[in-house]
Amino acid sequence: MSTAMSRREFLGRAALAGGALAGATVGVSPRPAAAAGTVNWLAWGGHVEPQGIKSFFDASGIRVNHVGMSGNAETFAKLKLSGASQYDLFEADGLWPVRYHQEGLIEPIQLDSIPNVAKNMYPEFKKIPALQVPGGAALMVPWGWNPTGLIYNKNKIKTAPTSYEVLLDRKYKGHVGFSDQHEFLWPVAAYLLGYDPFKMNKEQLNRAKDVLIQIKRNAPTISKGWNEQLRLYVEETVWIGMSSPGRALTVQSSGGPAMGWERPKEGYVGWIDGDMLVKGSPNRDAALAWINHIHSPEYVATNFQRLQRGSVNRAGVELLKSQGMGDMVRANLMDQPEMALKMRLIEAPANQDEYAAAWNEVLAAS
Amino acid sequence: MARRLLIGYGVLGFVFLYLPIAFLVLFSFNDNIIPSLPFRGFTLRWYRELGFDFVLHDALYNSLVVASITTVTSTLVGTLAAFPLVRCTFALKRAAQAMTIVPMVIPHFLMGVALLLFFAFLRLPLSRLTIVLGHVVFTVPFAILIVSTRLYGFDRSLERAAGDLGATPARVFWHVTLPLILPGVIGAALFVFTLSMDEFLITFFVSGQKGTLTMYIWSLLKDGIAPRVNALASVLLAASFVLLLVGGWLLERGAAWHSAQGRTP
Amino acid sequence: MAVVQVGLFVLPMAIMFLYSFWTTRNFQIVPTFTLDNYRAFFESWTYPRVLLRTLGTAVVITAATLVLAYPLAYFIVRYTRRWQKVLLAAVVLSFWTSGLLRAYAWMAVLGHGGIINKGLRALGLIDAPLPFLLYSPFSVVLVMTYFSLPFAVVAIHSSLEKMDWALLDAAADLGARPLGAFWHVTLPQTLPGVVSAAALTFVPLVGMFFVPLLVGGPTSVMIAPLIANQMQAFQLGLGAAMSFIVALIVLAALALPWRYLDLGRLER
Repeated sequence: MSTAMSRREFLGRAALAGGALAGATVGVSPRPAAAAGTVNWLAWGGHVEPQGIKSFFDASGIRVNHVGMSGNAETFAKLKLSGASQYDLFEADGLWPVRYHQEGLIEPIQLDSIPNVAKNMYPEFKKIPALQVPGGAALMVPWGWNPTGLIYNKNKIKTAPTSYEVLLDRKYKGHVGFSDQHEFLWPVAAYLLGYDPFKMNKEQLNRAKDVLIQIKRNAPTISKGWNEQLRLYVEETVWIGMSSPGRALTVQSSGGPAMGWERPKEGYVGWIDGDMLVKGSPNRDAALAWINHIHSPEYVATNFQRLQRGSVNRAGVELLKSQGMGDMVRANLMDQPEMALKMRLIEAPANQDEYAAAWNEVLAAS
Repeated sequence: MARRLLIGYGVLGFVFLYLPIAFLVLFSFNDNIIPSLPFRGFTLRWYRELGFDFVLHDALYNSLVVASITTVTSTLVGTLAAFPLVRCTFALKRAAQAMTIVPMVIPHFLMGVALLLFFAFLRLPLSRLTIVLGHVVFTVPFAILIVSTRLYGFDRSLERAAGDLGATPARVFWHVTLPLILPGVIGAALFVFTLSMDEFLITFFVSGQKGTLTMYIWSLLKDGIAPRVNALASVLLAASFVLLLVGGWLLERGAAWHSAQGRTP
Repeated sequence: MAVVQVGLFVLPMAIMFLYSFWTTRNFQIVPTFTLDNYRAFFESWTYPRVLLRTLGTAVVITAATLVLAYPLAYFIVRYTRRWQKVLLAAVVLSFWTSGLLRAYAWMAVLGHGGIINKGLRALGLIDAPLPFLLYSPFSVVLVMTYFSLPFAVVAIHSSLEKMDWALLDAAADLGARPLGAFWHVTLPQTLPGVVSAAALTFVPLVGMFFVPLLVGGPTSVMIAPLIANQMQAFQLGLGAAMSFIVALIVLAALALPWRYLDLGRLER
């Protein structure tokens, strides 16, 4: 055999330790087996507070298994494809719960039956008209909310923008934010053209997609998720884009430039997100106990201090104020729940397939 | 002259290969939320955060379970499959060889899409089982390949000798064949394990409520402001490095022992 | 073995083929046979453009990777007797690290606030960050080449190893200059390795998903993320049809150098 190392010899050298490691890990679990149950929580990554999960486990013995979600339509598709039975709770925004309810996937909840919700939630959020069913139960337990407007770098853009047209301005080529969250981009095009964002027909979508392609050409990239957007704003690659007041603050506190937030004159959408109980969930009680836990002032305060957006939980907001975060509370509109109900909430379009096809065109265009 | 150029190029090549990895490690110690310069100060806090990240621990556990089951399955299937492929001649052998290679090289996203549709068709809910199935299909060819290389150089007269001395086929396999191909089997196992741990795309399509490490990393990259990702990367790199070192050392010893015994390694 | 391969590979592919003839309507599968998906694919220029863009990029990157990998493999084989195992292990180790994280690291290196830009600005060579470093065709080619390099190096290396170096010495004795010797002796001898490296580099490039997603610009969407989008929007029929078309292309790319790829070449 030659002394030179051949690939197969090398691979052969790739070892025993692997096997030993594999064998050893199969029997080891990171935490002791929970006696009291599990909650499978399909939720936005930002809503997870590891300390909160731990304190819940310590108090009740229930393990919360978090699965990340990336978008309303994507989550809905995933559930339709692989079944909802694996989860006990899922989250959605705006009027999507209506769609879930139509498909018989969720069980409406009596909000006042959950102690922390009854005590701590702003009354406005307990009775969101579109999310009520006869009998007073709600389709989802709200969590946070935000209007989606224009955020802009105050150093680079001296006058506050008032219209979506600024996103199309060629002056800002390479500096406009464009995310992969299509449900927040369609309204931009729709409002500019004077259409209803969620009820565009094929023809209207055709024109809307051209608008979005134009905006896309002004963007450096299609950003995937907030992490990337944050970096782009902090580095001052992107100067203007669609987001919420709280995000503007986050950019600044992450070492970025001063950012402003404006409501575009053509109109804007917003979202209220929250948790829905899966129909027929085997861990129903544990799930409701988890909802109770996250609506405690401590969990809310920790989470919203990090997330920076409107909260439905008055006790949490009061806690933040008492901790000296009054400015942040005001900037995020946390103590103005009535603003939330004035927003146009995002919803599932009826002709979802046409929206999907139009979005493909936007993505594929060069 | 050409020699010096080539050496310089070689060095440059390795620098290039390790550049991003070096930065990952660098940033993992950087006291800065954004993974970038300036280097604000040395800190271990991102590593500490990893210790408290229970979602990470669950994801790691799931990854290890999936990788372990995949390793056992694929190595077993691969080893057994290697024998007929190397030793026998049968009709459709070329087809079988093709069948072996294709799942190994086909893009993972294609495999992921096909498997997703397959499981949907069977109404099989996505779970760790579906992830394991997805990992097995693309790792078995690697196992077959690695064990085959061991079998090709195999001196069958040893087996025949054992048979002549009265050993049953089972004993022949256990006492003669297996020890000699063991380095190959173990190499295959290690390789499969690493492939499974690092796998992202197939997992992306076929995972359900039990996320794996790669899915967790993806969600951190997308949603979170998570400098601890760099710390995680560094830890994973160190672990792979250790695995590689230990593996290399062990097999070195195995080969040395075999030569000492006068057997073909 | 056959059961596993058939069950987990052939069957899912077959099901995917089946789905490509079904459509979806409002999150429901409509299982009636139709060619609509394929028609939709070829109808407008949208989808074929993405596919061609992907294939074109893959060809360019394969070429670049081979050109870059060959000298590196040569270096390892010829000039590093003692360290060869270590270096080869280092090459393999570099791609055992999570791909996601390495792509993410490139974003940090190339971005406006990244090392290169900050370094150049600190040295006073530029005033504003270079925009083309990230989110451009440059970054896509660079990072995709980076990902393909280790595999190509290992593949070419094994071929270079088997070469009879005495031939090179003979050529030198006969008066051939290094470049000529390379062209007439080394390259033809290692051609099978290069060809198989080409096929094995090209195929994963077609299926690259997160690299173009993370470092690509808004106008360089590739076929894999596009198909993933279909699945996520429950456009299963269209997604399956697009996947099937890509599968055919991939199989064709593998079939071409088939002679060089079979297991027999492992025999010494």
